Amino acid sequence: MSDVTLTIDGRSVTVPAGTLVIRAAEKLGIYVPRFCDHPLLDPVGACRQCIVEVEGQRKPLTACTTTVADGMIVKTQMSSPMAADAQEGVLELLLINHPLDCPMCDKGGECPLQDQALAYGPDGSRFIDTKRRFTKPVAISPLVKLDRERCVLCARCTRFSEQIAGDPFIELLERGALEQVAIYEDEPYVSEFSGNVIQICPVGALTSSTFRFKARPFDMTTTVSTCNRCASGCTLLVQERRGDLVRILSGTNAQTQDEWICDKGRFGYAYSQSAERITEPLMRKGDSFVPISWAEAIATISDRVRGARDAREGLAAIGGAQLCDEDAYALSRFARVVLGTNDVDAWFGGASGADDAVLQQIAAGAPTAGFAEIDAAATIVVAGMDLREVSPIVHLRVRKAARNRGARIIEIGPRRSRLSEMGAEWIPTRPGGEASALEALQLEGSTVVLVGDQLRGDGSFASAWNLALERGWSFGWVPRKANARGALAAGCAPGVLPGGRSILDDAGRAEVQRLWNAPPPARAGRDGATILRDAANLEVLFILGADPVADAAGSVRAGAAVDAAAFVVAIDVLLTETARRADLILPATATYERAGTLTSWEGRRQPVRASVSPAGLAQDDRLILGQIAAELGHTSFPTTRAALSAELERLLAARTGEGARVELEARDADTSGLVLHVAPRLLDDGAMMHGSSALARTGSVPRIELNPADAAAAGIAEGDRAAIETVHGRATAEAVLDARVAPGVIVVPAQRAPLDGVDLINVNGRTSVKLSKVDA
Amino acid sequence: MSATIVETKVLTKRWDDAANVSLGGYGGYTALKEALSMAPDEIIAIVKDSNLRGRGGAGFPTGMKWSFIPKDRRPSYIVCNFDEGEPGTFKDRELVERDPHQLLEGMAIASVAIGSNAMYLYCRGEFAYAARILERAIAECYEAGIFGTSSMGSGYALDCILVRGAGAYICGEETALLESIEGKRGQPRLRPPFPATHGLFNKPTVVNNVETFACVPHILLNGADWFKGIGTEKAPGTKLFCISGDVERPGNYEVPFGTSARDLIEGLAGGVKGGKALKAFTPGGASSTPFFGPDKLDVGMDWESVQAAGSLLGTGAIVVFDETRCMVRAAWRYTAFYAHESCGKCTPCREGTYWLREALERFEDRRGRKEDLDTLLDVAGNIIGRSFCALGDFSIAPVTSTIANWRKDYEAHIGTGGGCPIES
Amino acid sequence: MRFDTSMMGVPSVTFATTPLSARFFEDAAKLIARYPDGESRAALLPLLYLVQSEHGFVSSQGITAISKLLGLTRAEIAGVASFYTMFKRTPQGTWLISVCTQPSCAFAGANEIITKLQELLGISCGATTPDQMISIEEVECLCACDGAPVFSVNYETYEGMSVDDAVALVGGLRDGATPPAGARGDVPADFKTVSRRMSGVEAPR
Repeated sequence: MSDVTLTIDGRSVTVPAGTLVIRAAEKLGIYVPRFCDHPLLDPVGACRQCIVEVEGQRKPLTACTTTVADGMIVKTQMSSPMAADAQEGVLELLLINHPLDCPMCDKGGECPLQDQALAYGPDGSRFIDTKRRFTKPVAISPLVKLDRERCVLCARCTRFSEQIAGDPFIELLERGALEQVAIYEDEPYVSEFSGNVIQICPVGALTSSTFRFKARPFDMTTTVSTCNRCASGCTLLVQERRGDLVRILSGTNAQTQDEWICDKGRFGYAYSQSAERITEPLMRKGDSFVPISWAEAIATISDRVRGARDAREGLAAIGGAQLCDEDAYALSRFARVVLGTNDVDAWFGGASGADDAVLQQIAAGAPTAGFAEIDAAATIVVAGMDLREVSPIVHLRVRKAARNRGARIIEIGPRRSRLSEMGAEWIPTRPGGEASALEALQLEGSTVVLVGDQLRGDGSFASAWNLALERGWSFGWVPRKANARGALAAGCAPGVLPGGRSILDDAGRAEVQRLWNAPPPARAGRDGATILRDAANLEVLFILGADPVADAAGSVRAGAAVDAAAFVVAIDVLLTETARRADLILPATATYERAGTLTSWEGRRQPVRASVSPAGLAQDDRLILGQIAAELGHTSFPTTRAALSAELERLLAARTGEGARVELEARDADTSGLVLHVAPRLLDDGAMMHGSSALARTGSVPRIELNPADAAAAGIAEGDRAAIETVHGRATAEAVLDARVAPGVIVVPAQRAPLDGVDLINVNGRTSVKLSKVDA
Repeated sequence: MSATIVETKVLTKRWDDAANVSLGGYGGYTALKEALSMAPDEIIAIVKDSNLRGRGGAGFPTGMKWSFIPKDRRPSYIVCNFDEGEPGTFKDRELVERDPHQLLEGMAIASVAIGSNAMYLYCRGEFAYAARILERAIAECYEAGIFGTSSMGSGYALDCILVRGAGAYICGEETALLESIEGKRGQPRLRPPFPATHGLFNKPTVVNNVETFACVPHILLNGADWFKGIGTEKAPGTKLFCISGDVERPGNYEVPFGTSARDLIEGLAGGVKGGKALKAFTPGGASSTPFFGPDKLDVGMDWESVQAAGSLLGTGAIVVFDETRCMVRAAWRYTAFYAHESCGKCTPCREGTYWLREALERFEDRRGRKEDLDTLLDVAGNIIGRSFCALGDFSIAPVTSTIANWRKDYEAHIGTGGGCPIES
Repeated sequence: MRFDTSMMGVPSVTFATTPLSARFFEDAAKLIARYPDGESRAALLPLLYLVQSEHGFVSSQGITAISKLLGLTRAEIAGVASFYTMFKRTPQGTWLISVCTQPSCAFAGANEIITKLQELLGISCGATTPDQMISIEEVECLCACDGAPVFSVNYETYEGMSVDDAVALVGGLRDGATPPAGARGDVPADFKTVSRRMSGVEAPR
């Protein structure tokens, strides 16, 4: 497609064919006022605000719906009195039914209607009759409030919901002056992306119930940071007022999130300001905790470490997948140098040698897929995860590829996801069956395969990797935890040193040794699940920013493990279930209080910046570890952020690798009978959801999901109470029959109290499950 | 007063005998039979040559519209706009009720001309009787093999699906009509793309008015030259004019284009009721158009002449207002119609008709202010040409033309209350 | 047609007192099958008429049922139903009286008909009598202007009647009489039956 040259307000501009006039004007720095236009939504031409004069046309045209033509002569309000007059007229009309709410409207100060009325509108209104009035506000969901009087019917929210999110739970009702945005009365606007409509609403019609009346835009300080609630890697605008976080908005990044974030990232920050924050070191005394000083805490820990009889068996560290790269790096260095062990892992989902070999390649810089591959691939294959729950913004990007380009989507797994709305083909498999389903695919054209954490632990991950190399597919790993990839690259894995260097590789060990002034231990380390299983033998166990008691798979019996270890140090933000069982708890800064780097699923490293001061006496994890190291005599352990970052950057520098096939291990044959599949949920009972009650109310009701045939075989009807039992325990909940569940599989959510699938599932391999009906 | 004006009955010639409603009374669909043996391009050429123009209001050349259908995209659709809803218009309803097969034959010929096998007939929801007539007529056609897998034994498939509106005047706008058939809110679509390439179900579509289709069998049987011999050069053929309001003999009258309003009102419709003087009349229905006063009675009723005289022909619905009528009330009532029927999509129409109606209601109650008149004209100027579809454009005409021509009526409504001083 | 400027609440959801019949679902399947593959949404307006034929209005159960049949959210369906005036939000009486008040009909007494009907029945325009016999509404042009004043009983038009005769006709309906033949010679059926016809399910094709 060739370029087009046109004239706008007497100035020439050349743009690609198909560009809208309003966008072409922006290239010249000419702003044409608008409401309904949004670059990421299909044009509607509804508000008529962007009227411009086009030579040769008998009527004025809307710039947002007119595509450029060679030689077109456009006059905006800057040079056309008619266009200026038309725009003023539209603003006057918009304001006749618009209430004079500015003094009490959240949008005031950042309101396109205010700004554009001031710049392009009339001085006053000539309307003296009665405005149409609606009761207001209307809570259309626990998070979003609607004020119909303020609404200018731009339909951005309804278009976003339908086109981008696929959640048309808000729609335009009625017609004429009574036209209004509405939900169906008992079907609230529940969507993981609902908060975006608040941000794109050009007036104060859609407002956030958590932000309501909290601050004016000019009273807030905005910090650009990166989200740590999943691995999508979204840019956030974190806003504070007088030291308190008041709001989070989506940043803009055309390569990753466009202009969208999910509700968890947007609304889920309350935990960091809740009364449940750990604000000072706490020492266990019997059944309760007493506050102690940092000095005493560091001294106590150091004594314990020093006194550990057998450093190689008795000391271990887990965590790091929720922390910044620098913290994960500090943990990796701490474990190897200070504790003298390779028993450090950010992952406690069960290990497989083949999977680890792949992960080491990824940490070493082997090429993996990112958003760019999703944007371009003819076929997108999703295996082992529900993207919408695990990485919502990746889900939106896949949706966009299908909607805008007609990309083919195939999903493989035990449960069909909402990608089916985009025509995704579903290959139902039992857990563990994804790898063979991938192998059976016959595809043409460019392909990207996105693999989730559910494929880890039994070699399926490695199978997929090999297959991708063989077939020339791009391979993308979308982990569940926000910084799983960063932690891995920083060396939070038993067999991997920072930068993906294997502990078995002499050259790599030597490089690390040079920097650390100490040799990394040679003996192989245990993975997270094994560490927990052997916890009774541990003298000191460090747990950093992890809550295995809550979210590790059941057979690890993390709770008992944490109890069994002799001395457990938990470094965390909140009093989690894990922290509650620790012997000593150290307060860590929340992500909004620290500076650092996060590595997204793409391997894209993005900055985290502090917006508010640490709560109480909290410190960054990396600094805490530095202080313990210093107390134990490790004088070369970096004790400042700058020093740690510098070391990490050196170790990560120039890490490029080629992907290579790995040797696969023999896999267990499938069990017969019903198996359990635990599906992670975006809005669950994880510790960081704490305090975000409105957000939590938009989460799904936990149910046992059954394929209708399996339900019928067990005599269970929709709505009956069902019981599921594995070797680890039993749970009951309401049953729902859904043909989107693969036959032979029972799906339960992870961590949706009272139904917690992670308690019942095996760490590796399939979990057999018994199903029965609970009589009333 | 022309005492000798008579109707030219082409489309209405079968109206006198109720037996003509049925297929047996109608005849043998000879025009369709001929069309089935012609090449599609031949049919289009004849219709083009006849200069048949759409009778739904826009007056767009029908043959040209049909020729826009791309030959290579299938399926394509013929859609009949029977969503007559313009105040004062009742021609399509009577055409359907008295001669349904004329319409169906016209639609069928159009289908053959564009290579379509499916016709959708969008019938306004309120027209219960007309819908029953159509259901029966369509069933007769299927029974007789005119519709079905092989129309009249030709091997060409023709299907006719009757769909109902549900009470929205805006669905008479062709893209809103398509939205309505597709099960959506009846809001007009962005153009381009145009229905010719992306219409019903995103396929090439021709949308035409009932009266337009009704002309087609006659053109095919009698030839383009015959058609051009009636009416004016730019507006050939006959037109049904719906005359109602303060007249002695309201009704549909079929005359050649170009017949004067006087001949219609005073000649055929018997003049203003009770011998009163004529105050105003709409040349083409409330939609569209500025009102005319008695000085415009000699304007020829065709698109060009009416436009030159300052209004629009629209659907040809002539509503007559006698000397006792209040033009403020008329403007208010028509504006309330637009405000009620506005789809709400675009600001000028949605907010503008609201404003105009509220202000006019105030005038109706005799609480108008002098400065309001200029304001209303200015507001009207902000609506016309700025709205998403023509409803906005047309909505201001009652206000602007009545203020321009019957300002005294408005001035009588300036005050602090008391109701309309002109009408009770 | 005065606009009601009092504050408007949220769109209401009304439940019908009876569930949808089995016939509804059979008919629904028939209606959906009439449209091309992938275009089942085109059955939405006919299905709304079908719901109305069972419940006398577009009920909550109806919206939920259609939502499942067509794979649309209920908000989308409510958006469509609320756009069109012939889809009713509250149960209609056996007889729906629609009176046109456009100028041609107004000249012939339409406004007086409305006023007298409201007096006669004791309800305002847009409402239904407590005994569920009559609903009255003011409507836009019914396109039979040569027969002004025009009003319809369940969409069967009555034309050219005097104000008193028109009011007496409605009075008769309220008292249980069957309506006389309308201007085209047919007697209107009750509202639900007429709604069913409008869905098109009974059409020969």
